[in-house]
Amino acid sequence: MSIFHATAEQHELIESFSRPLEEMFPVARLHKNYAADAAQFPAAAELGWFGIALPEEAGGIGLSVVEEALLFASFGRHLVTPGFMAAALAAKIAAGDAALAQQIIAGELSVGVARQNADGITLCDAQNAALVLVLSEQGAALHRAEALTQRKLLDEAQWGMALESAALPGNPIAQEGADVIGADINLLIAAQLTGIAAATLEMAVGYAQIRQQFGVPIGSFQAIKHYCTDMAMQVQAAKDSLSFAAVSMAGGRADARFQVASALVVAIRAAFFNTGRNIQIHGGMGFSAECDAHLFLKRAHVLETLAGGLKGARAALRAEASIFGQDAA
Amino acid sequence: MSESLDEFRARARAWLQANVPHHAAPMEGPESRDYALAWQKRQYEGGWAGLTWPQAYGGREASVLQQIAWFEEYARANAPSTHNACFVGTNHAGPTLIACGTDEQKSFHLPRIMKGEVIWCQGFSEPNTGSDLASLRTKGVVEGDELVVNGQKIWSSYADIADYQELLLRTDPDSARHHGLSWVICKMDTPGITVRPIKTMAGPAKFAEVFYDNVRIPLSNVVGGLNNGWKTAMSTLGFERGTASLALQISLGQRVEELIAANKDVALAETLMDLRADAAALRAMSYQFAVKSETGPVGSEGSMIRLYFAELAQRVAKASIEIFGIAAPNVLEEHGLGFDYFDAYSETIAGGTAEIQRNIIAERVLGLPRGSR
Repeated sequence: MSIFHATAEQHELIESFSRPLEEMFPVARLHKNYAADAAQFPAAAELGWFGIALPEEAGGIGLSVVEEALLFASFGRHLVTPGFMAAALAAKIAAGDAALAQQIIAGELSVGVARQNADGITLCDAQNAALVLVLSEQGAALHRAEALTQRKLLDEAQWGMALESAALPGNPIAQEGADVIGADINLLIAAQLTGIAAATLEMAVGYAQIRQQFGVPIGSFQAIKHYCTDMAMQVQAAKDSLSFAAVSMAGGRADARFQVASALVVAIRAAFFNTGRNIQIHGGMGFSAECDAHLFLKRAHVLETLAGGLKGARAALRAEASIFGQDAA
Repeated sequence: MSESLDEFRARARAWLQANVPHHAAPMEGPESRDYALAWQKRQYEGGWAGLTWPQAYGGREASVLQQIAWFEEYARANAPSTHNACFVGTNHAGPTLIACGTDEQKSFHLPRIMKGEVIWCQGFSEPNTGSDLASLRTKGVVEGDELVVNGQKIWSSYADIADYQELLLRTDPDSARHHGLSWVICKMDTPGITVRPIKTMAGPAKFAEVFYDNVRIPLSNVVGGLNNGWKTAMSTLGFERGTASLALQISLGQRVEELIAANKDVALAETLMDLRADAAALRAMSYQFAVKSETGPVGSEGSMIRLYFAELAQRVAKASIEIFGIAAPNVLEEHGLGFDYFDAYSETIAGGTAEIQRNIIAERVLGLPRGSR
């Protein structure tokens, strides 16, 4: 049991999901059908993913936010729909309504995600969802999809998923304030962004090893090496921040909220840096639609938006008391 | 044995509170020597020296969690920088002797290093040997039971106040690159040694050039075997857990907090939040590395943390000048932010430039192919 970081056992447990993830969510699926994941809620529920951090008596798997964070990092790697995050969060805030929570955990009710903005809400990949979880600075509120008004499709192509607008709905069927659910939201978004940063690093390094120019792999050129190293440092920072934050939350450390807010700032920047560099390292191929590279960049933007933006993440970090100079362990 | 981590931390905090010197460390010369030795001696007498050393050599052999707690408290107490004149002895020469020294070498030198009686400096770099250490040319020729040394070293920190130097020589004249080198204990008052301090852009003379003119060193001062110096020089890599740098990293986080408290410029507020998050990330990385290193060998991830620290330190130093301006008293004063800012330029050069570090990380951690430099 490490007091700072996820244990090897926790990593192994989540890595056991890599096979089903590979089969169910190959990134290439998104070239053909950006909304492919909507049909996967029951299969994901079968694997226990929506209740991974909920106690068994609540219908969950009984693990902690540490395993949950690692799982969502894997989701980030596979560009799994942010609806899965909405389902996991919705199951948490619906705990008071056992029947509703059970339907979410069982994948009987699919969940879509939205972010509150000045004019209403922006829905992301939520076209087929039965429930919509609206994230905001105040926390999270769960609504039935049919309760939404002024719903309008904005775009289906540009960001790799359907974006819709709707009026800000009233009377949620369940809700939770940011003081309770805020850290969970930020942790799961940071996790997915960390997964994106890691996947694009591997993609870039893999390509740099096989793509030849001037008779040698481009990865032997210092310019490419240094890009890759910078990407690796971003991944290391994001991964270790995420792990530390999750363990802090699970262990109830006093500075847990600081760690999560910090992990989110680090993860957003890591995801933007790495998805951009990955396109650059892939050259002309990286700019083409058939390459996966742009899908990662676009998803990073969607997740950043769901988190309230990098500006919002920095503001959230500013609101936390300093960890330095206090007891750290 | 049964002391808990909390008890250990409380004991460290109480001792540091009572014993940390109240005046700042002198920057150079004999005063900096006396200060560093006095502080080392004090830690030794308090039972806090050699925290990372094995017990067999008088060390405390503290667990990684204890090391972390100690260096956190160390930073919190504003204790003198761990990268002072004693650093090479306690963190490099000492561990090298532990790994490769003879019983005589160990029993003579290790207690002196631990007790704060001697200063060590490093003699690796040469005027034409910077990033490419294996190209070094300063030579030692075997004559009877002595080595006769001729050549020049440079960027040797604290050489002007040191008693001993860990000196890397080419002892096989027909050898090339990593072969034919020897790691030698050089007594700095040996006839034929000339030390010329070098002033840095930050002001003080932190480095020196060292000239060797027929300097005679007994063969018994070779550590780890004649012509086996590269292996000896690399032996400390496995010893490094990164905890010694933890105090510096936490101090850096504290400086970011001071900047956040002082800043009134809205335009800089976002930059400062990035620095805050990155300082926290640095700490998370160091803890991960330290804990991992206790249970098995760690690779070159340490270079990533080192590089991350170096570049963060530069960004923090730059932000401090932006916030206070070049004419503020806390920038201009001795040991002030101006000094820190200039001194931070060395972070991405000393101990392997950031560019070389990036090559190493790309090749050893990421597995990219070697190429021309």
